Amino acid sequence: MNILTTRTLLEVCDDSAEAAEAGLLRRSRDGDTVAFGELITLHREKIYMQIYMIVRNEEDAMDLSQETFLRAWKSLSKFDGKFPLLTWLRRIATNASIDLCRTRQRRPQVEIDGGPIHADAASRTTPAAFERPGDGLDRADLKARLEAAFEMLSPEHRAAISLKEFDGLSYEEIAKATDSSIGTVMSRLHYARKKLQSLLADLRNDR
Amino acid sequence: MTDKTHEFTEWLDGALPPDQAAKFEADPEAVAERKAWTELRAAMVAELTRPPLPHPDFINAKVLEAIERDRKPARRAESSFIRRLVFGGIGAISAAAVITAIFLPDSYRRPSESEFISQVISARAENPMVSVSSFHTRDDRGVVIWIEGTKPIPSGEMVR
Repeated sequence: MNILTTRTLLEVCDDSAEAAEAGLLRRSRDGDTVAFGELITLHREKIYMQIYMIVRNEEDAMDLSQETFLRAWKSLSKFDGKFPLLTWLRRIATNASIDLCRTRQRRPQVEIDGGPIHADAASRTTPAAFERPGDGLDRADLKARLEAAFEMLSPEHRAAISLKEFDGLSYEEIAKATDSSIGTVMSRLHYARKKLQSLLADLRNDR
Repeated sequence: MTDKTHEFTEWLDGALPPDQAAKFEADPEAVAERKAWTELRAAMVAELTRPPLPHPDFINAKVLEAIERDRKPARRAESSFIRRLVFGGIGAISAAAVITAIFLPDSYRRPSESEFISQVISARAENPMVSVSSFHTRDDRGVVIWIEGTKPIPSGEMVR
C-alpha cells in the first residue's frame, strides 16, 4: 500500500514536471527568453556532462553546451515533441560534440620540424609505470589508464558508452539521442566494450 | 553485426529474456566475458568521474546574451522596414494627390473662391441715379449684374 502511494506520488511529480516543462517550452517558442533560461537551468548539467564524456575537455564541453542550447533555441519551431526535450537536446549535443572531435582529428594539433604530430591519448596520459607489467596500480594510475583507454574510443563509441553506462539510457533512448538505429547502438556498445577490454586487458592480469 | 552479437549485448546489459539468456549462462566463455566487463564497468563508473558544471549560470548568461545579439539586427531590420514603409506610403499618397490635382477634369473640380469674385470696375450712364452692382451665385456658377435706376435693358442687348 505504501509502495503504491509512493509510486503514485512520484508519477504525480513526473506529470507536473512534464507539464511545467511543456509550459516553458510553449513560452520559449513564443520568444520568451526567461522561460528558455529556465529550460537551460533544467537540463544544463546533464548536457554538459554528456558532452564532456565525448570531448573529454572542460572548456570544449562548456562551449558546446552553450552551442547546444543556442542551436535548440533557433530550432525550437522544428521540435515536434515526439520524444522528450532532454532527448532532443542530447541529440543536438551529441552531433555538436562528434563534429568537434572529427574536426580536431582532421586538423594536425602540433607541428614540430615540419612534421605533424597528432596527440595520442594513451601516450599523453598513461604513466610510464604501466609499461612495466607486474607493477601494482594505485588509484590514480588506474584512473589514468581508464581515461586513456576511454579517449581512444571513437566519439560515437564514447557517446554510446557514456549514455548507457553513466546516464543509464535504454537502447531506444540512446538511438534517439544519437540519431541512429537501435541496431547501430548495440553494435557501438559491443565494439566499444570489446576495445576497452582489449586496451585494458593487462589491468586484469596485474590485479 | 549478427543477431547473436545483438543478443550477447542485451545479455550483458541484463535485457535479454531468461529463455534466451539460458544459452549464454551455459557458456563459460560468455560468463567469463560478462564478469570481465562487469568489473571493468564498475571501475570505469567509479573512476571516470565527470566534473561538475563550473559556474552553471554562466551557460544561461552566455546563451541569452547570444540570443539578444541575434535579435538586435532583426529588430533593426524590422524598424527600418517599417520606417521605409511609412515614408514610402507618405510619398505615394503625396504623389497621387499632386497627379490628381493636375489631371482631374474641370467638371470634377470644386470651383475655387477666386472664380466667383466679380466686381463692377466702371459704369457710365446719362442718369446719375443709375447704380450697377454685381453678385455671384456659387451653386449656379453665375454672376448677376444688378442695375438700378434705368429702363429695362432689352434682352438683345449684350452686357459686357
